[in-house]
Amino acid sequence: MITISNLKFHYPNADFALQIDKLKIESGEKVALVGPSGSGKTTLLHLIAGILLPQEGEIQIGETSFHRMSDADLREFRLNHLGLIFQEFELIEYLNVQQNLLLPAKLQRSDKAEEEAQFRILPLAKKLGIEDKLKAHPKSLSTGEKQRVAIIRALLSQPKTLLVDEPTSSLDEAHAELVIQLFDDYCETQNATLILLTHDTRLLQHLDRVIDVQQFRTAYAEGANP
Amino acid sequence: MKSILFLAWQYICYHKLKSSIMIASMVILFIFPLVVSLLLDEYDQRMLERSRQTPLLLGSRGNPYDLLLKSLYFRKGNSPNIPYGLTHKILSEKKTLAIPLHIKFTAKEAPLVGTTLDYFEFRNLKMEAGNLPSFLGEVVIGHGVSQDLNIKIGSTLLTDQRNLYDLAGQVPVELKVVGILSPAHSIDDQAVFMDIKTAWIIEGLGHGHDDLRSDKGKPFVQSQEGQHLKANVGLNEYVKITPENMESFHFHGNQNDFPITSLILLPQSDMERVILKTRYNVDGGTYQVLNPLETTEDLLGIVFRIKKLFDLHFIIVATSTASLMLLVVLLSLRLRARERETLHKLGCTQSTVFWLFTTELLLLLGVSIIFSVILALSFVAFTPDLLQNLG
Repeated sequence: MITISNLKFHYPNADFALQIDKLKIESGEKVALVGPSGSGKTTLLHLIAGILLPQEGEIQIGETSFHRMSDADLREFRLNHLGLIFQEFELIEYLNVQQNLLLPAKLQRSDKAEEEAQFRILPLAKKLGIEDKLKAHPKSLSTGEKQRVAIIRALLSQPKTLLVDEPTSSLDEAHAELVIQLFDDYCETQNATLILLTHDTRLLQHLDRVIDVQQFRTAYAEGANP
Repeated sequence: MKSILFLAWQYICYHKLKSSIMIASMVILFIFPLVVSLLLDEYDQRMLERSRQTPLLLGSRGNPYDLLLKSLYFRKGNSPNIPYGLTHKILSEKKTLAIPLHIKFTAKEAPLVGTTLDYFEFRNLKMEAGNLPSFLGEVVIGHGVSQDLNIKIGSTLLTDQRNLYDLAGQVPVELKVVGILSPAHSIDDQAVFMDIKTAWIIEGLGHGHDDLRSDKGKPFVQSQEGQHLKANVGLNEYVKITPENMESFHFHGNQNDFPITSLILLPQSDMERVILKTRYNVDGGTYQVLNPLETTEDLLGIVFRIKKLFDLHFIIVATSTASLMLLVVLLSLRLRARERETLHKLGCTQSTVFWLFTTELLLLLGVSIIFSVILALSFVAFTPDLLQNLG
C-alpha cells in the first residue's frame, strides 16, 4: 500500500506547489493520475518514486517510509521495488538496448539480479516485438521502440509498484493494446500496484481509480504555507 | 565499481572519435618527455658503463671532455696528439698496461681507430668472422659498419679525404677488410679498427713506392747525396698495400715521436693509479690523466641540467593542456546533464555519477599512459642507431 500524508512540496524559485493531506493507494490497485499540463502529475510520480523529496510530510510504500531513508537506501529501494517508465524513456545513448535493459540490475550490484533480468529479456522483447533490436543503440530506434524498451526495463526486476508516465503516447493502436494487456497481466500475476499518468482514454477503462492531481495543486508563496 | 567501469568503458567505446582525440592529445603530451627521459637514462647508462670500464685515460692537456669524447666515443674533436713513445715508457715500467689510440681519420664516415691487439681484449670484442688485422693495410670493422655499408670480408674501404682542396695533403688509402666484429652494442660497432702503423700510413708518416735503385725507380731519381737518393714528383706512391709491395712501406723519422690521440691506461694497482695521476697531472704539464668515470659524470651533469629545461617546458605544456582538458570536461559535463539526470532517475547516487565521469577520465588517462609508454619504448628500441650515435 502507498500512503501519502501531510505532503508539501514546492520547487525552489517557482510558485508551483503540491499539498496532499491524505492519499492511499492499495496494493494491487491500478490508478491513473490525470490533470492538465502543469498540474503536477509528473511531480507527484517523482515524489512517489523518491526522485524528488518533499519539504514536509511522509510517503510510505509498504512498511518503508522515504523520509527516514538515506540517499543510498532510497536508491536501493527504488532499484529493488519500483518499476519506473518515464515519458522521455531515459535510455542511455551509448548502451545498446540489451545493456540499457540490464542497467538497473547492474546498478543493484547483484550478479543474481542481472542473471534473472537477462533470463526475462527475450520473452518480453518478443512480446513487444523488439527482439531484433537488442543489439541496437537508442539512436537507431523509433520513438515507439524506445518506449517499449523503457517498459521492458521497468518490468525486468518484477517490481511490486509500477510508476508509469504516458506509456502509450508514442505507440500505434496495435502496440498500445499490447502494452495495456501487458500491464493488466503483470499486475494480475504479480499483484502489483500500477500508478500511471495518461491522457489516453483507452487506458482509463482498465484502471480501478482515476485521481485528478489538479486538486493538490496550490500556489507557493515564500514564508507562507502552500 | 564493476558497473561504473562497465558504463565508463561503454561510453569511451561508443564515442570513439572523441575518446581518440582525448587519448591522442594526452599521448602527444606524455610521449616527448618520456622519450627524452628514456633516451637520457639509456645514454647515461651507456656512457657510464663505457667510462667505468676504462680506468684511466692519458692525453694531451686541454679540454678533458674533448679528450674523453674522442677517445671513448670516437667523436671528432680538438684534442692535441701525444707522442707514441709514452706507450713504451709506461709499458717498460711493467705496472700498467697502456693501449694507444689513434683517432683522426674516417672511411665512409666511420671512424678509423688505430690501436694494438690489446684493445680488442680490453673491450672484450669478439670476432664474428675473419681475423684481427695482422699486416699493414688490414682492418676489422664493427658489426654496425658491416651492416650499414654492406661490407664483407675481402672488401676494400677507401679512407675519406679530409680536405678536398688540400691537393698536397693526405691521399686516400685503400684498406682491406679481414674481419668483422660481433655486435658489442657500443660505439665500437660503428668503428673501423687497424694497427696503429696503418693509421700512421694514412696520416702520411709512412709510405711505399718503387725502389729508386731498381730499374723501375731509376728514372725518378732527382739527385743523390752519398747513399741518400732524392726522388722527383713523378715517383709512383702506392695507395694500396698488397703482399707484393708491403716490403716497400717504411716510415721516416722516430716512431716514438709519432702521434697518437691518447692512451688507455690499465694500472695493476690503486697505488699505480695514484702514481700515474700524480706524475702526469702536474700544473703547467703537457699531459693529463683522466678518470673517465668522473669526467663522464661531470659531462652528464651538464646534459641533465639541460634536461631540467625540458622538464620545465613539459610542466608548462602539461599545465596548459590540463587546463584545456578541464575546460573540455566541464563543457562535456554540461552537455551530459540529461544523462546524469537519467542515471539518477534509474537509481545512481550523485557520488556514483561523479565516480562514473571520473572513471572515464582515469580510463582515458590510463590508456594514454599505456600508449605513450609502448610508443616511447618502441621508439627507443627501434632506433638503436640513435643511441649508438649518442654513445
